[in-house]
Formats: sequence, C-alpha cells, structure tokens
Amino acid sequence: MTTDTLQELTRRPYEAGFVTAVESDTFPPGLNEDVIRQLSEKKGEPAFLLEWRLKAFRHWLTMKEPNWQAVKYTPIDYQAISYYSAPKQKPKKGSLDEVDPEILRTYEKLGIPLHEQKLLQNVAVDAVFDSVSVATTFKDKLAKAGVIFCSFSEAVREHPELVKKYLGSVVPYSDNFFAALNSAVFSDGSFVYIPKGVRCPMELSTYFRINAAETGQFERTLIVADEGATVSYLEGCTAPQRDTNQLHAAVVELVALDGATIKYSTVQNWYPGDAEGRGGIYNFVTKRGIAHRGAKISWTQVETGSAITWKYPSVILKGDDSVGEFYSVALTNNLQQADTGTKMVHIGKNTRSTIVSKGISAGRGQNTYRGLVKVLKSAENARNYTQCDSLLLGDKCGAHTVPYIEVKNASAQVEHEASTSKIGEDQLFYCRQRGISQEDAVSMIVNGFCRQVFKELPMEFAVEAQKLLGVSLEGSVG
Amino acid sequence: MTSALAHYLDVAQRFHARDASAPAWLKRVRAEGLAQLERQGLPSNRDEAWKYTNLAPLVGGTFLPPGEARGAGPLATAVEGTFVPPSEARGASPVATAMEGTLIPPGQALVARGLATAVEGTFIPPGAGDLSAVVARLGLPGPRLVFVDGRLAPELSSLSGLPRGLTLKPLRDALREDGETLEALVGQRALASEHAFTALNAALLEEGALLRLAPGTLSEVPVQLLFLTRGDAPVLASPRILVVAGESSEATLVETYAGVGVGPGATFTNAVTEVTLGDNASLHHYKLQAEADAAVHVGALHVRQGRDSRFASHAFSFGGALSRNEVHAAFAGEGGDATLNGLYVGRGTQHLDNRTALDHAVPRCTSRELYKGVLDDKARGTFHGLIRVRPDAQRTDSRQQNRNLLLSESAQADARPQLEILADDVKCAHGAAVGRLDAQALFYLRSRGIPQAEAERLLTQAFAREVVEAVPAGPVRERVEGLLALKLPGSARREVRA
Repeated sequence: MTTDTLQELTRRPYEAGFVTAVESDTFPPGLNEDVIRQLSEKKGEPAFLLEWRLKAFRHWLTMKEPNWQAVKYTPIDYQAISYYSAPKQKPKKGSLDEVDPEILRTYEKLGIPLHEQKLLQNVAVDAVFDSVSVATTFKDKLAKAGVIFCSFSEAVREHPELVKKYLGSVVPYSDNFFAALNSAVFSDGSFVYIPKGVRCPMELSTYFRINAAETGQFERTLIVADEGATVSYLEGCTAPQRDTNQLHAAVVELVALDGATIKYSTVQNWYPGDAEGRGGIYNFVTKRGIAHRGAKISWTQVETGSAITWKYPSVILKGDDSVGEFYSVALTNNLQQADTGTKMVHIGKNTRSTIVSKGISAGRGQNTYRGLVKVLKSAENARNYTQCDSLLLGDKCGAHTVPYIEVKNASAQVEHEASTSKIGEDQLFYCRQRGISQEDAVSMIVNGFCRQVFKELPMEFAVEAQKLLGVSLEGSVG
Repeated sequence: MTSALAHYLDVAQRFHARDASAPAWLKRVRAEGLAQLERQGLPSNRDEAWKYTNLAPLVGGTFLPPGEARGAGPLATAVEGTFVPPSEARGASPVATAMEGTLIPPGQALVARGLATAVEGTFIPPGAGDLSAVVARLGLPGPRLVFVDGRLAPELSSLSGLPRGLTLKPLRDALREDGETLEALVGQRALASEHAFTALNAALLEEGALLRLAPGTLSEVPVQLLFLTRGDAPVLASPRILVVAGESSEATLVETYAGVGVGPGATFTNAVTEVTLGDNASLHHYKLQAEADAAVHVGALHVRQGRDSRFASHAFSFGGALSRNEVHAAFAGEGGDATLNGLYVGRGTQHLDNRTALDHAVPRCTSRELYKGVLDDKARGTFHGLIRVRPDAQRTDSRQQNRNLLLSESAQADARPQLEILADDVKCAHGAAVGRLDAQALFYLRSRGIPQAEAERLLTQAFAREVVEAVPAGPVRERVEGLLALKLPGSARREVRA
C-alpha cells in the first residue's frame, strides 16, 4: 500500500470531537484543601467522605509522579486544572425532562440516546458529563430487581453505608499517585450494587464525556456484586477535539463476593490528539477488582483513543477457585502512546487467570504491554495463560512487551507467549488476488487479529469496537 | 548498603595507593571505575535491573582483594558478611590462625582438617588435596590460565600448544607489555558508567587475560580460563577478560569458576568479559560457574558482533549463594547470528540470577535464546531477557525461551522476558513458563515400573539436557555433564533399575 493512502486514511477525523455549548459551573483552576472542601460541600457529602478526601490529598502531596512507564509527555501542571465542572441545571429528578436538551443532543450525536424508548434494548445508561452524572436510565426496572445503579454522588447520599464499606477497599487512597489524586478530588461516577443471588436483568453502562476545556475528569466507579450475583458493565468515553491536553484520572473498584461474576468492558475513545500529537487526553487510570471464593472478574478493553494511556486493570484472586480474565486490544496511531496491561495476583487455591493482549501500532505510535502474574505461596494449583501479540503497521512505530512473572508456589503453571509481526505481503496479496480491496483486506486481517478479544465484548459494543478500529486504523499499512 | 559501598570505595583507594607505579592510562581507568562506583552506588532491589535479586550475601560480606584478604583479621567476620579484593585477602594475618589457631599452608589444610566440612560447603570436592588435582579434573586439554583466589597461578597454567595466530596472555603481563592495545580495549564493551559492578571491576583492574586472534585464525583446541577460589579467605577476585577476534577467525573460550573447598568461607568473584568479534568471526563461549555454596558470583559478558559474525554463549550456573550471570550481545554489522543458552540449577537457598540483553541495532541479524532453570529446596531463579530491535533493524529474527522447573514447594522463579521493538519488518517471539514435573509423564514412567524418585530424576535430567546437548560433543560437554551430575543426582548417565 502506498504511503499516500495510508496517510489519507489515518487522517480520518475524530468523529466525537465537537464541543457542546452549555453553560457550566466550573471551579477556577487550582488544587488545595479548600478546593476539596468546597467540592465536597457542593456535593453535600457526609463528613467521613470529606475526611477521606483530605487524607488522600495529604498523602498525594507526599507522592511523586511515576516515571517508570514507557510514555513521554509534557509535565502536568496540577494547579492549572479545574477540578470541578458541571453543566448548570436543576437538581436531578430522575426524569430526562430536567436535562438540558443541548446535553441530550450531545449524547444523541454520540449515538447514545438517553430516551429510554429509543435506547438499545436492554442497556441501562448512566451519562456522566464532565464532573457530574446527568442522567441514569431504567432505574425503576433495575430497582425492581433490587439492583442499585446510580451516580456516585447519589450513592453517597442514598447508600452511605455501602459506600463507606467498599470505597477504597480495593484501591486504597494511598495506592499510587493518580489514585491518590482521584481519591482527593473525584467528582462523580457510577455506583452499582447487585444483591445476593441476583442476575442483573440488563447490561449496565456508563458513558463518560469530557466537554469543558481546562478541566480534568476524575470519576470513580464502584461495583459490588454480592454473593452469587452477576453483572455485565460497559463503559464508553469521548471528548472534544482541542489543542491542549486534558487529564483523566479515574479509579474503578470491583468487588466480587463469593460466587459472583463481574464482567467489565471498556471502549475507550478519548480524543487522541491530532496527527502532530497536539492535544488529546492523558488517560491515567487505576482499575482493580477483588475476587472472593469462586468469583470471576473479567476485564475487556478496547483502547483506541487518548494521547496517553496508562492503565492496568487488575484482579486480586483472593478466594479459592476464583477466576480472572483480561482481554485487551490497544491501538496507537500517530503520536499516541499506550502503556497498558494487567496484574493477576493469585492468592487463593485453584485460582485461574487468562490474559490475551493485542497491541496494534501504526504511524509513530508506541504500544507497551506491561503485565504482572504473581503466584503467592498460598496459591496451590494456580494457572495462568498469557498471550501478547503485537502488530506493527509502519516502520516508525514501536511495540514493547514487558511481562513480569513471579512464582512462589511449585504447583503453579504459568505460561507466557508473545509474538510481534507485521501484516504479511503474502496475506495481502492473497486477499487482493480475490478482488478484495487493499483497505478491506487490511481491515479483515486486523479484525481477525483482534477477534479473540472482540468476541468477549457484549454484542453492541463489539460492533462499535470494530467500527472504531476501522476509523482509527484503516489502511495504515506501509 | 551504604557501608558496603564505603568498604569497596575504601578497598579501591587502598589498592590505588599500593599500585602507585601503574601506567597513567591504567590509573585513569581505575580512577574512572572508582568514580563511577561512587556515583552509582551498589544496586538494590529498587533498581529495575536488580528487582528480583537479593544482594544480602554480597552486602553482608566484607571481601578484600587478593593482596589484602589474608590479612583481614579473623575469618569469622569475613564469613558472616565481609568481602575484600584479592590483593587484600592474602595479606597479613595467616589464614589458618584465623580458622583454627594453627598455621597450615593452604595445600595441607585439607588434609589436616579432614574433608567433611570442606566438601559440604563446596561445590567441587577437592581431589587429592591439592590444586593440581582439581585442575586435572576440571581442566581441558590445551592452553589454559589458572587463577587461584584472584591471582594468576603460573605453576598451574600452561601456554603450550597455542595455535599460530592466537595470543593468550595473563592480563598482568599485557598491562606491562601491550599498554596501547589494552587502553583501546578496556571498557569499550562493558561500560563502567552503566554497571556498578563493572565499575568495581575497573577500579580493581589487575588480573585477567587477553585473548587475541589474528584474522583467519582457526583454533581447534579450546582456550580455558580457570578461576579457583579456596574459601579460606574472604577474597574479592576481579578478573577482566578481553577477547579480540580478527576477521574470519574462529575460537572456543571456556571460563570455569570453581570453589575448591579448602575453607567454608564466602568469596566474591566479580568478573567482566569483553568480546569484539570482527567480520565473519566466530566465537563459542562457555561459562561453567561452579562456585562454592557460600560464594557470591557476579559475571558480565559483553559482546560486539561484526558483520556476518557468529557468537554462541553457553552459561551454566550451578554454584554460589548468589550468582548473577549477565550476557549482553550487540550487533554492529548485518548478518550476525547470536545464540544465548543458559542452564541454572539451584538448591538450598541459592539465588541464581540471569540477565541477558540482545541489541539488534542493524538489519538482518538472527538471535536464538534458551534459558532453563531447575530449582529445588528454597532456591530462587530469576531470568530477565531483553530483546531490543532498533529502528531500521529490519528483517530481524529473534526468539527467546525461558523455562523454569520447580522441584520443591518452596522454590521460586521469576521471569521477565522483554521485547522492545521499533522496526516493523521483524519476527520476534518470546515465551516463558514456570511449572513442576508433568504428572502425566510421571505416571507414564511409574506405570512401567520405574519408581517415583527415579522417574522424577529422569524427567528432571531430560529437562536440563536440552541445554547441555546444545554443547557440541567433546571435552567441554563432558565437563558440563560432570558438574551437572554433582548438582543433579543421577544426571550422569546411569543404569535405570526398575
């Protein structure tokens, strides 16, 4: 394929890059204890939460920004970011009538209509716009099943005992630099609680949208699946096209109690910056789940956006017979950098984990898989299988694999395999010979490469992911 | 950690003061080593490259260079945790005094004390009680240089039978006679600025060997360097081996490090080997590390490969409380080929650490890597292998495998296979696995009347043999098999009685 077609195709516009004209209530940039107090007051939070935020903030001040990851970026000025921005609106009443029609139109444009009758069948959506949740759909239907699905702020008001019990139980505020920052200033996010033995009647989904400029988004998601419960949760993200970098530092905590199953899928399409690397979201995310006896946590992610991706969705396999899975497709094009992977910590007996990671690098993108499989002494008969494949499209990009394997129990069986290659001329020739255009051939091959991961996604998302990959990548073969 | 660093800085300064008459360039190299060591400090677990390495046996020791170690005062202190470079180790106070209160020359010490203790703490049980017997057992036919406790032992060495075009010299002689050559060679491949232990080695540069091959030289007999430590003084040996292979030359170099069990004390060997391969040159490098169980061994091999050159490294790590084996190969010309093989077999509380780095800096080079570990008792094995493919190093073909066999519940393995790829037209793959013996294979053998223990031995040997068999049949392989037999009972071919 000629370089011209490549360039033309990789220059496809970022479709979600528009800005919504909405009046918002934004804090001036800067971070100190007063800002946190103000934020907490604005959200009407109980005292324990403010205390927790302040502890996190004080701890954060003592921490250093990590520098071990294989990404380069201009230093972030944490005082130049506004830590709260919300569209001006009346308090939420559970009805969409109260939501600014401009915002509703935004979600419609993004293909996420919030009117329930128009919604994709059987998906409940919590829409987070900048720092606040603007709407949550299907709440009544979920409530009948006993499922709590609401914005984090609402959970703090309505179910403080659950929040108090589980907040920080998987990712403590002292966990890492970005998690500490998030703990201090998180504004909103989603909260899910599935009671004992309940299979959530529909897919739950949160759609994150950054709109305001010069703000950071710090959302926090907490999902608790009580004994024997099952839930599938989806997350999508977009942001407007701007020349400046914006910080997104989220924390996701999953708690799967005995016999519970949590499936967490992400399609991340934050604005990746332009072809020259201007603008784009800095995505520094901490995601971790804890699986108790016989529980299963499955992470599936499709990472196509962000200028920088730094995330390692992890599973602590604490209970005996628990299962952890990680399926990932990470794509870097232009000047995008991704340093992503997972951690599987085997503590319980007969714990199993599977890691399938597919990295695709195009343009001048840098893609790193960084993962840890740790088998502790107590983890009799632990099993892990890891496969990391990288596909290189072009000679200016890079693919890196940095797995760590630590085994302290002889009965463990741990396997790691990785390969790196490009799309073979013979493969392309074979398709072309059969009348398939170059572009379609590449798309087919890339989709085949990612198939193992896509088949783990819920159907609607799988379609979206394939489209996204097509947009981000089509034809970028040198 | 700080005090250990202070100790080595001190040791180096004393050494520099003692050897004040050294040529200016050598003083410069040593001073630079000292400065770099001071700048970097000794590594700790916080350094990514040493993340899985427990440096306690090293930090706990006060080792002294050969000239000082014997004078270091009571050996007990040394055994508990102090190390000295060679010129200090054999200094003032007689060893035997420290040990038993009587002065016995090292050769007789064995006889006097009985072998039991010595053998237990040492990997190689001494033969007839003197070093020449050990050399006879471990040595290979052909030219060799033998070093005892960090010092060249001319009476045990032999330079006869050197093929035409091949020069082998003790580094001491070369420092005097080939100053200009050495000045251009020392520190070219192994950078003191990047490795603290290389810096320490440079600061104490004195002993070692220079091996040169004139263009077109084909040496059929292996060249052997034998480093023996007796364990009766806390010696710090810092050999530096320099190899320059001219265009289209071919040779085999065998480095053997062995503890010979006079005393039970800890020693510290910090070896650095620098190899430059000319276009189309070929080097087979073998490293047989069979240090005493209490010993600390740190060895780094740095290779730069010219166009179409071939390099094969076979590293066997059997001994040492702490063993670090590093192999760094860099391709400087197209068409190069590198094979890095390794086998580490640990028991007790041994910590066997392996670090390899392949730098594919130019197109069309091939590398193959296989490292295997067998870990018993509470032993810990670590592998960290990096394959770096630089931009434009197209048509690179690289494969890396690391397999670890855990024989006991308390054994540990850490693996870090790492790929860094910046070119697109490449084939790179790596794999790593940790596990125990296959239950089905064991069952198969047992169902045919082979007792459990025997079946386990057979499978363990089979696992290890893959690396041993990569060594071409001949005297080198026999030595490897001999050492492995001591380490893995039953690994020598023996009749299976069902």
